[in-house]
Amino acid sequence: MGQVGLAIAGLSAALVAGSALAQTAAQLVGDAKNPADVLTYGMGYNHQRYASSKQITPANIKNLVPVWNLSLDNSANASTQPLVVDGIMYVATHNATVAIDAVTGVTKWKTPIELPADINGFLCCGIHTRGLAVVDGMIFRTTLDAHVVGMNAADGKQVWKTKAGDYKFGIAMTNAPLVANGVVITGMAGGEFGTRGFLKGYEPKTGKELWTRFTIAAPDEKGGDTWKGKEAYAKGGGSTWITGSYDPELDLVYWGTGNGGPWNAAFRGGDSLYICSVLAIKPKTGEIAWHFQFSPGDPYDYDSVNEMILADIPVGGKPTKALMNVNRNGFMYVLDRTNGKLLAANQYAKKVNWASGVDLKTGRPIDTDMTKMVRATEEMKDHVEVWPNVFGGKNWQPAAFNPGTGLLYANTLNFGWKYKAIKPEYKQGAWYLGADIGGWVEPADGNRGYLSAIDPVTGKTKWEVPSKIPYWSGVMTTGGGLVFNGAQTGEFLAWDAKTGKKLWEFRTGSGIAGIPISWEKNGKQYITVTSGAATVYAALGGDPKLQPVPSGSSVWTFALK
Amino acid sequence: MRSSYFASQLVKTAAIFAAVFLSTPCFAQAGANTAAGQVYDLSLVDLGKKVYVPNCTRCHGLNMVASGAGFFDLRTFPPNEKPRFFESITKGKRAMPAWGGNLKPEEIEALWSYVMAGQKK
Repeated sequence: MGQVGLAIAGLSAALVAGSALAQTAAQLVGDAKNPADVLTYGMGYNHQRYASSKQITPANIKNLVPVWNLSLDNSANASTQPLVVDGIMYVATHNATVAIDAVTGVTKWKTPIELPADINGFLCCGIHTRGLAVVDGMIFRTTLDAHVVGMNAADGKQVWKTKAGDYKFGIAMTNAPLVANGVVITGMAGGEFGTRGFLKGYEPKTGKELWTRFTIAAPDEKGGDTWKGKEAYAKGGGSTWITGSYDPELDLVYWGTGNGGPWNAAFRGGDSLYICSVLAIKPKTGEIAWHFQFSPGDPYDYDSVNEMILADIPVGGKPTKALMNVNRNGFMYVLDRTNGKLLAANQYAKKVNWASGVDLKTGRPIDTDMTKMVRATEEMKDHVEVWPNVFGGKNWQPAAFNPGTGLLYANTLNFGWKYKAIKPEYKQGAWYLGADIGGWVEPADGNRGYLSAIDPVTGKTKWEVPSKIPYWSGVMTTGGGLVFNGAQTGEFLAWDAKTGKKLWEFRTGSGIAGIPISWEKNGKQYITVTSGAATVYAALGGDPKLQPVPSGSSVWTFALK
Repeated sequence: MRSSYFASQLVKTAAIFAAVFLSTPCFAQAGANTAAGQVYDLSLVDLGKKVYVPNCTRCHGLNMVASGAGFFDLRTFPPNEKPRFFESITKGKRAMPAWGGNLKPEEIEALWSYVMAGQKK
């Protein structure tokens, strides 16, 4: 075969490989509308966490029973979302990846993750891995010690492992990667350790790094002048610890960024771009197409990593390509996802005292006198009482959007905290806050949390269910008119999406900090969730009501009997 | 729930309690009843808090109020098991990482004092 023949053979191979990739990429694009498989963190690129399946309904859910349970053999935080690919379920824990026959619960393979003995000392908020990504017969995950791994879906064998950061400096990885336009994209955690946040893109087959996008502007970059001095940016935070969403038509990835480093706003100075923002990223290059900063110069640890939910909804009577964000700062935002223009920002949290609202023209919060003082004071004499607290009006636990009801379902929070800015002191591997948490402030009725059904455009609550101990799980909603979530005391729960009436519950053996999914095999609908909680709330929340709940992780799968 | 008052007063109150007890024969007797060298050092409590807050709070809670599953409640740590305290911190135990590479022995000594003083609350 001459050179021309070789070239043709090479081209053919490339076309075959290309078509296979295209087919799988098409499946990823269609994931949200496919009731059988769960191929993405978010149950679809749009992160709606909506399953169109209608078999399980308010009328028959009394017949929902467990069909199998599988131990994950650890006492860490099972805050993870499984994937299901043609009847095989894949579950990530911090120390292993497991493939399970989704119908029977029998383990097909389990691949351990080797971690350094001191790794847990460099994690801010729990020991967990939130999930996985798949494309073209491969599975992708991150590790707590800041590596990205590609493995064969068929047998769990590692194909590549690429170091993304140095965990000894507090760079950790807990998020599920995102595969968008043929690129494996991952974020990182470590905003409390004086890191500089980033996203990275990798080639799926080889793990070759394609690009790095730092989320904190250097002095010579656009936005660099929003930081005090020339050095603050290097420890400026802006971590990226929750997976972004993706619009394949616009070819834009929407990824939220975390708090500034340190929390102390006066120390950092200015807006501190791009902390507490959403970045619209071009997946092939990591280039920022547009950004919107929810909490400029944030002093209160109001990370904006919460899921960016995409839906085409009417806003002001116009069909709109919307991006919805239930922000930790207490406001519910709707943006035009084509260009980042703010369309709505309304208070959803019950009590907010750091800002009196959001200016729709500028997109900036309207500071209360307290926040004006906090922003200007590097070392405060006394604590101030701030609502919502450091966990926010909603923390990481992802909300769900039901196109049928037009409502967002979110596990929300309602308690305050005592905040005091203090002099920041950096030490490698230790918290770098420049702030003191003086304790919690209870709501008058004692309900620290709610399951809330929220109108995204008005921010108004359609219905809510109070809870003394806040829900710390993900939320999922279905075409059958159901909403699923879980309690930190172990109950897996189902609610009527229209009314909030409790329809069903099943007590698991530990708290639920997992993310429920719905899937189908041979035309039958199943529901799966992980149980096993050792959450940051349990560690920091000072809630004695959690004392009797044991740890211990496992997977539960349910179906109609 | 512990109030913010408690939060800001923890060390101070613990110190007052300890000072009162230290000045009485009763406390001296109690100290003598524990194994040799295991009475904590009051002067290290403040330093212990400085070590505790950025390193330990995230699992063991504000002022050691860890309320939930999976996190050891330091308020129950036995005062007569100081070697176990050092061993667990230095080498790690279950979910507890090995801190030997991160914390100096004198910092762990200060932590011991902070934890013991906090227990007197």
